[in-house]
Formats: sequence, C-alpha cells, structure tokens
Amino acid sequence: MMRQVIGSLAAAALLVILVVAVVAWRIGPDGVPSEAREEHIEEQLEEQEELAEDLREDRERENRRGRR
Amino acid sequence: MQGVIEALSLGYVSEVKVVLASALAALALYQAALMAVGYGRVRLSFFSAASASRAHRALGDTVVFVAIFVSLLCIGYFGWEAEAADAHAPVAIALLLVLAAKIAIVRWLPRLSFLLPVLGLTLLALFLATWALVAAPYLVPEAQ
Repeated sequence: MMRQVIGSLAAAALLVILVVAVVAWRIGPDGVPSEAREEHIEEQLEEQEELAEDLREDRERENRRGRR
Repeated sequence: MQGVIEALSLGYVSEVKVVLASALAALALYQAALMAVGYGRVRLSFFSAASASRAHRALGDTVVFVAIFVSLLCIGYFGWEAEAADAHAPVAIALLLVLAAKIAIVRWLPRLSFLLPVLGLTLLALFLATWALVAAPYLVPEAQ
C-alpha cells in the first residue's frame, strides 16, 4: 500500500514539474504583462523625459548666455 | 511585505502567481482523479481505493499550503483593494471558504462527511475557475 501511495505522489510531482515547464515556456523570457510592472516602466519613462527636458533647458540657457 | 515577496519571486511576482495557479489547477484535477479511485468509481488493478484516499489526503495538505501561499502573495503584493476590484477575487475567496469547510469536516465534523464529494467537486470547479481568470489569459492569447 505504501508503495502505491508513494508512486501516486511521485506521479503528482512529475505532473507539477511538467505543468511548471509548459507554463514557463508559454510565458517566455519577457514575462506576463503586469500592471505593476507597466506602472513602474511608465514612471521610469516619465523620469527620463523630465531629466531630458531639464538637460535641454539647461543647454538652451547656456546657449543664450553664450550668444550674449 | 512587498519587498519580501519581490525578493522571493526575484521580481517576477505575476509569473510566479500564474505558474503556481496552473500547478494548483493540475493538482486539483489529479486530486479528483484520485478520489474517483478512492470512492470506487474507477477501479484500477495496480492502485487500491485505500491508497488513493491516503495519497489524496497527503497531496491535499500540500495543495492547501500552496493555495494559502498564493493568496497571501496576491493580497500582500497587489493589495486588497486591487485584488477586490479584480474578477478572480470572489472566486478565490469562495475557494478558500470551501477549502476551510472541507478541512473542518475531515478533521472535526465527521458526521458531515457525506458532503465531502460535493465539496470536493465544488473545489475542483473553483480551482479551475480561478485558473481560468488568473492564468489562462496569459497562456492562451486568444482568451484575452
């Protein structure tokens, strides 16, 4: 009886390994689209845009000063 | 809490949730198959009903642990409000309630054990419904 129980538990473990492998393969290296991650990426993009704008303004100010 | 969950999942919280929900759905189907043998609905020469029932009980403990872990992961990371707004939340709450009822009957209320097959089939349906709402859209793009 113990052999049968251990065998069925081993079969369950194999099933789990198979499911995990198939799901991981279906998800792929990019991962699933997640709202939290999208928000994080949006925040990062906004920060980068703000930084780029600040740099542009600084450069323009310096250019104006240089012309004078 | 969020930091711990992110560290545990290496930042792939949604992916871990989808993988664990899929594994739970597969195990729920396997558990139902075990009890089909356990109740004598299916007879196999190499697998006795008593062994199937015992394996069902052992595997059930693991399923409960993983189901509670996934629930805590969801609420801890995405927050209760975000989860409650999602369609899978009521199904998942119903699943946990039925799971609690089943454990209570098995351990403390054997008089009500005639309800176990119905509760088991309800649990199977709820596990599959939760999987369909949480994981299927990511795995089957046509379902999105």
